[in-house]
Amino acid sequence: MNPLKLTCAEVVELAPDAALDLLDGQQRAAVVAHLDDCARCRAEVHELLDVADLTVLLVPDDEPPVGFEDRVLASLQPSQATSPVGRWLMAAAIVIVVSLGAVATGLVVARHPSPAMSADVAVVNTEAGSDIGRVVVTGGTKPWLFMALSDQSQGAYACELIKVDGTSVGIGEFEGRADWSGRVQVPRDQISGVRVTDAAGNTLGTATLS
Amino acid sequence: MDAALLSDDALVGGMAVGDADACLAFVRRHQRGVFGLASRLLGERALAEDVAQMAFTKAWQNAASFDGRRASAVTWLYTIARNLAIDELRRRRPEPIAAEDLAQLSSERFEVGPSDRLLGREDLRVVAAALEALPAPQRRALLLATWHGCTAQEVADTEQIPLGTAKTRIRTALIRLRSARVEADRGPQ
Repeated sequence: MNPLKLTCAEVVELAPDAALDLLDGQQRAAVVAHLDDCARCRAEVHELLDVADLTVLLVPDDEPPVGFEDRVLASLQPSQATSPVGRWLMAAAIVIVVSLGAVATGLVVARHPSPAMSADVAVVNTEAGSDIGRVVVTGGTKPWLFMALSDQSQGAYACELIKVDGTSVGIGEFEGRADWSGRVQVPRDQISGVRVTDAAGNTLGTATLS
Repeated sequence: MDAALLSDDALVGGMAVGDADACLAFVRRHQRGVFGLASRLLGERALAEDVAQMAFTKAWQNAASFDGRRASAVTWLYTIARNLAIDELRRRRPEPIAAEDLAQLSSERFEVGPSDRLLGREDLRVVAAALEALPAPQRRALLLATWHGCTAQEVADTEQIPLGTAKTRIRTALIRLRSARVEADRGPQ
């Protein structure tokens, strides 16, 4: 059986059902195939999905039974003592929060001394030298990256990794979010910095990683 | 300064590397919300506690694969909790939504202020106001779909309306919420 081919108008009509996962198998496959090639319809579905997700966050809070927190933490069984890299990342993140909330600490780049795993934190500076955020990057072949910008009102922005060979790789586009984290697919030893650009591609700031 | 002051993304990053302080702060920040969601969907506190606990366990196990570019950490966590609760509901057989729960969906007031996860979330405030402004049948249909994970057919059965009507109510409600958000983003004209 040939897969169903949908037009943009048909996908827009189905977009609310797609966002709420109400489509049957054939319709879902056809919508997904269309979205793979159509950025406009993809944005339409994502907008609706975003709104549907927001409604879930509006479910009223309820106080869990006494001891719930302890039982959850016992089931997670995190390491008894915070791991060195964990402690370091938390410290780095705290540095970010502190320095974004007050006067910059003067810390430009700090390297964790652990031989097993390192992580770097760097200031995102504008061309004029103003501090607009922090980046934390761990080591490894798929490093974890945490980015925090001090001014969300900059609106839409994009982040790209600057590689040691001078090329760059886009890692995400954001709107109205002061911070985010995620893994990146470029090995740490090939990353020399991070650039933040506005929607038009103009550089807002750059962080240099040693 | 302690971990409780960090963003959700930073805490998930901490959890990914086994940081106990990050786990504690994340659980403490979201336990009322996650338990509230499970409790609302399942209707039984003991079962809700199990599901909420499973949600945190799953979040902890998958923290390393969390990608903040796809969704916010709180949306990610609530999606995990909601899916677990819906799986549990489906395992227990389809039970009709109780009449008092349906009535509550029609008159629900959405408190955006007091909870940590909602502070400063103007987008949630807009969506909450738009939800409250919806006609009761549309609001019920949408919340049955988003909170309770009902299919359009289940909404139709619950409300005793034709399938087409259920679909129209859900779609119209979602589109109205999206429009309210777009309007709010544009700001006053």
